[in-house]
Amino acid sequence: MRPPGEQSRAGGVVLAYAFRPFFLLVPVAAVAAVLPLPVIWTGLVGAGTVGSAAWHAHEQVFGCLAAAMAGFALTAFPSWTGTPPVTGRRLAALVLVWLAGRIAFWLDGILPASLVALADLAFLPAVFGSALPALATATRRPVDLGLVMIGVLAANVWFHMTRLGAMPGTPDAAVVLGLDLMLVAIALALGRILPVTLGAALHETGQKGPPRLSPGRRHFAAATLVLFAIADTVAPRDPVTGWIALAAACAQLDRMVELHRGAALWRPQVLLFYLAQGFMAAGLAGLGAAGLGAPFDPTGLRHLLGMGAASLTVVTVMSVVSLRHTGRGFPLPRAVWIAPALIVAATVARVAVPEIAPEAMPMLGVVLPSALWAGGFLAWLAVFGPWLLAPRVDGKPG
Amino acid sequence: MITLRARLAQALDYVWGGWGAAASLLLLVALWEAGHAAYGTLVLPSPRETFAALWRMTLDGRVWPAVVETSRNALVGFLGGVVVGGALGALAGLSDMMRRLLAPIATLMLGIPAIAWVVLSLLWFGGSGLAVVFTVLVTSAPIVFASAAEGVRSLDGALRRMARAFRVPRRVLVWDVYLPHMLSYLFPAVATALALSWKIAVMTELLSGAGGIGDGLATARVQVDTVKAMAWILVVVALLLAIEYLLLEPLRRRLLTWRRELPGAEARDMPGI
Repeated sequence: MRPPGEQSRAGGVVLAYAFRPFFLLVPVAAVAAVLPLPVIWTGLVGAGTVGSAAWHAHEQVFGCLAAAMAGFALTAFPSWTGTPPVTGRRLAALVLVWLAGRIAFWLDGILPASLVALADLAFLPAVFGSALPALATATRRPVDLGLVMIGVLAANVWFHMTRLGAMPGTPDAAVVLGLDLMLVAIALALGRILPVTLGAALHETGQKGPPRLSPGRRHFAAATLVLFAIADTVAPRDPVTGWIALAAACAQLDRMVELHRGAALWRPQVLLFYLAQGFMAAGLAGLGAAGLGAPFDPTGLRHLLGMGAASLTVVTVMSVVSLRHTGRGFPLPRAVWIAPALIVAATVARVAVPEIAPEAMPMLGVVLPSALWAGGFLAWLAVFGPWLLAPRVDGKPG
Repeated sequence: MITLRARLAQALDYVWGGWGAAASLLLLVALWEAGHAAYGTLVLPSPRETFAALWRMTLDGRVWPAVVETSRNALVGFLGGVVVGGALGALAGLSDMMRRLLAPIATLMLGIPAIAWVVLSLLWFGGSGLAVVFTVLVTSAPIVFASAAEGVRSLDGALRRMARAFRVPRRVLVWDVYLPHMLSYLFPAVATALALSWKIAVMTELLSGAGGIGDGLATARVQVDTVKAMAWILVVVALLLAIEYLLLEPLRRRLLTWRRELPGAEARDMPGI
């Protein structure tokens, strides 16, 4: 409960709930993570301690996706566990820690390497630290998601240790592990999100009945993804990993059947998750085939997972959370389609061009998808940003 | 009345459910691949080698005739077993005397190991398809017998009296009361017997050299060709999976709808976002 007038009004609104500042920053991070790519690909090379690919992947996974996860988790945990949310100064501190990590990583090569590592690694522990006191007293703790996020932190530690030469492995392998674990987190989080969005979609389309989502399917999908993350790290190009990737792809496809609910499937809050699941299955299947000897470009396929599966899910979750937590009800505005459409176009270009026309890669495979991607996230900001900057429409706090 | 559209949607969902089964099987294949990496081709050929061998064998025209032969023998034996076991079981269910006469014999037959029947039928019928049919019949009949007897015996007399009091036509009585009741007893036994009949058929073929999949396996064993042996095993497994998922499971869903899901058994989840 802030005394009025102590903080500026906009600042107060933005810090009223965790999703507001972080969802405002996710698009910025998403754009920033592709901004230097055209420069790098058209000749100018980065001067940091990691290659440009690892830099870009790190910013997407541990910068952009981590901010989205933090914004989602710190917004959802209070309603799952009945604990008070992180707001005000503590939230501002978290945002600053995140920003410090991003700035430090941008200045990699200028700042001392260990300082960059410290600044970048501080964010997830800070998020845990801010949520733990409340969670310690809660009766129902989302342990599964917490464990996966600890895994993501471990992957980032590994990333920096390889960069500093203190641990075996490569930064690229560490960032791949981070993305694989993010997919697990998404698979688990969808179990909490889909009942709400599918329920709303069923209601909008006048269908009766509960959302009917089986926990068994969700756990199977998540378990195969965990197995894939482990295999992908221990033996990346082994045929065993290939089969596990194929199994994980099938488990994701299996889950999609729960969204086959007639007209409800065509509502954005369902169809976009459905598409993201499809991208995840396609990416895993492609990686599986590549592991078994098919001539696919694994880097392109990772983009199916990172852009198609992870980002599409993130954008949809951000849209739904921004809608509900600003006191609005379904349906989502029509403009919700713009950002996903651009991101899907970017994904298709990024994945298809290296397979079809490798020689056109710099323009059609990097510059074009980067522009579409940035356009998508800026479009999201244009549609939902004003909601995040304004108080709840129903006058409640948060 | 269920519309065609809803039927199609149901069918799509069922076929889509195959992805879950595929995921589970692919994990097994991953384990297989790891076993191959650990022990080499002579002990366990890699999945890809095996699939390639199976493909070559199919192109050579060796797989399909064997599948047809084994399936024919297994099916004839199985149908014989269902008719014999079902008829005797119904008798035992209707008459207490027959039950006293037949039940111990069925228990004894059930106790004789399948491999003993294989040896006996080879001695009696030689290495022919008849040996396979007989072995399958004699192993599947006691399974069906027990459930048929139990199904008939437990037919609800009160229901029959009520049906008579309400003058329910005989056709309706048989179709809507007796048949569903019998099916709930018979179906699991028949399904088990059907799956078993293929395995027994392959085993008998292997020992008798009567042709079919079992004969292919025997040849692979003599040639110490693990790849070919695995390929033949794949054929058997594929057949069993096809029977289970394309025949038995859809039937089970159709016939036993009433025992599928208990209300309230759905996800009790934490609140969402």
